[in-house]
Amino acid sequence: MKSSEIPPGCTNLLDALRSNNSQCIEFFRRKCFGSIQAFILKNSGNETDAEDVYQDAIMILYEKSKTDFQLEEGGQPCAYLLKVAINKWIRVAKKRAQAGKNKQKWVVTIQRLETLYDEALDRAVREEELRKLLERKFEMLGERTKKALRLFSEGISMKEIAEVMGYENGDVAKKEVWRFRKQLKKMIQSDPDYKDL
Amino acid sequence: MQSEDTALEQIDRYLNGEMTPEEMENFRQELSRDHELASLFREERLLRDVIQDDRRRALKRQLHAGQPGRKISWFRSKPLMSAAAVLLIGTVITVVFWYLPQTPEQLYRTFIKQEKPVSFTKMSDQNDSLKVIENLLNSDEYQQAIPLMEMRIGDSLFNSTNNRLRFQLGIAYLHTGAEEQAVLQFDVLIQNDALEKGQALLYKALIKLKQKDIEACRSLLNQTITVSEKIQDTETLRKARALLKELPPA
Repeated sequence: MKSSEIPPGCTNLLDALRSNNSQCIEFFRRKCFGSIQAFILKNSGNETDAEDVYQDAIMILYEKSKTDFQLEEGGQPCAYLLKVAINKWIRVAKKRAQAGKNKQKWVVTIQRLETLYDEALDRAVREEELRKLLERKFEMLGERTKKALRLFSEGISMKEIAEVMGYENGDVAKKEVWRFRKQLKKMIQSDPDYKDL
Repeated sequence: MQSEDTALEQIDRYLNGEMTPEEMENFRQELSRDHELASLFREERLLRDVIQDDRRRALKRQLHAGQPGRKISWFRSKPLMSAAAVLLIGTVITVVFWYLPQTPEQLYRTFIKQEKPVSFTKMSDQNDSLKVIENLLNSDEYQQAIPLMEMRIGDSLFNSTNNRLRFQLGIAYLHTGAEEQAVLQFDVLIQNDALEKGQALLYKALIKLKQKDIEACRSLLNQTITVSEKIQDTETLRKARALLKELPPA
């Protein structure tokens, strides 16, 4: 298939994300990534930044795809992704300005982008950052801890968790699960990125 | 806000659908009034979502795989590697220190031969397919092991067994000459900050060594050292340092 050819049944990125159609997701990447990359490169970023921002924008749209969210009438996914990317980039620029290195460059970038700020998209960007932080911290836990928390998050009863995990009874399971949750919460809250979210 | 434990109990009941309609309505009202409770609720909901969402993980893997020449960021940390892996690599290190070969090819061959025995299962584990894969790998039947490992990994949850399988799949690809495929597997582990990240970097360095790209190998070994220091993977750290010392000059 030529890179410009539309894969069969691939008309809507939201549907592609809903059905996990990898061919279609890749097609939209070819279609949409260029404009995001050009924007990032023009605004003090590099290729890796562009990749990261594109990925975040897709993940935000993926989360939207779980709801009944629809793009505005006639709205193109590339345009939406670019808007998300811009708001993500404003966040990145602010963080980099705070970090102090090349501060002036980032301050100028923020000023240039200020008019493109969108509060709703900023909220979505922050939520995605929180998701990433939670994921990262969860993956740092031990395997048994992760298993117990997975069972718990699936709504499995403490009695069943005790059986699966080999705990004495449901009360012990509950104690353990709460201990794991506290441990995870502590890890999340002690991360320097947390207070920004 | 009430105590955090009480609030969490309430949130659990809500998210598990254990509240009566009246309780639910009261809880929603409380959420709209209590900013702290709302923030705790948001985190708990997101956390459950993140833990359960295998599709999200699969999508992230796909997006990572589609990123050519992606640079790696080194800001995450992981706990220690498993004792078995440490022991195994310790043995490798001893042997490598003692008999370190002189040429890149010899060096590569020495390292690539040492990853035995492979073990994914405990004595009590009844998981047949993993046992079969273990046996195949331990008897150098890589061609047969590869499709079984691919099938087993599939799109399923990104967990520690899958990571270990993926790492071994990368090594199996190396043994069958499929270096590009091997690199893909190692990249997934690196980009997902798996426990095997340091080892995956080390193997990428070995591939560069085999290709006689000494500078790329050196750079990857330096990255291995940085990562291994961060995650306290002492054995991989020692191995990477040993290799770095033995690399021919640029």
